[in-house]
Amino acid sequence: MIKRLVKIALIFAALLFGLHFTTYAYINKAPTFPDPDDKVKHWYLAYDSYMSTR
Amino acid sequence: MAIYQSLAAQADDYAVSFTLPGIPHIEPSFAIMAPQDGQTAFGVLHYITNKDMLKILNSESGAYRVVDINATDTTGKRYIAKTLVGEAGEPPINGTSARYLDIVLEGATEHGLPDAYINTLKQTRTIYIPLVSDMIGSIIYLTVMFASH
Repeated sequence: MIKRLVKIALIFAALLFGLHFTTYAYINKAPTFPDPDDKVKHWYLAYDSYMSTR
Repeated sequence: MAIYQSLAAQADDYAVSFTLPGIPHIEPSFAIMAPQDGQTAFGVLHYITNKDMLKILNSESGAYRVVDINATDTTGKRYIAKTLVGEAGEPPINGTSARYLDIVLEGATEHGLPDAYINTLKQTRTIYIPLVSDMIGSIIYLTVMFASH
């Protein structure tokens, strides 16, 4: 019984890690924005989760 | 992230839809803005540094591209703003996740976007699978947080 639970937990952990890295790889293909000066300010129109400042 | 100013705003001839595909049945779609004649996209203008802009971009997918658009605040003042646009797709059957829509609604309410737009958002079909949605949502949240720092 314990062996089975451990096996299920390991499979579940592997799935979670797999999903994490898949998601990370997906968002890592981020849009590029070539502007070397970090201090320049822009207006940015957010229409999704970044609308919130909390 | 340092936000120097935030303003409710709109961009004419653009539309926001939940049609960027995500994880089927769990996080079915994300918001995407695309050109659409006669429509209006609502959002929030944030005045931020280039460094913080890059942090945002690093947490987004390659489905978006950065463009300069004309935006108007609630007083009618016009701004040139950067935003992310892409190709609007077909709406998924399950709409979007309740988790994601809650975050979008929180921002829209916080900055006083028009009631009509907020009501439209509230009518968006959502999906929530107890535990599974919570776990996947937490992974996405942590991944985005990790990628944007």
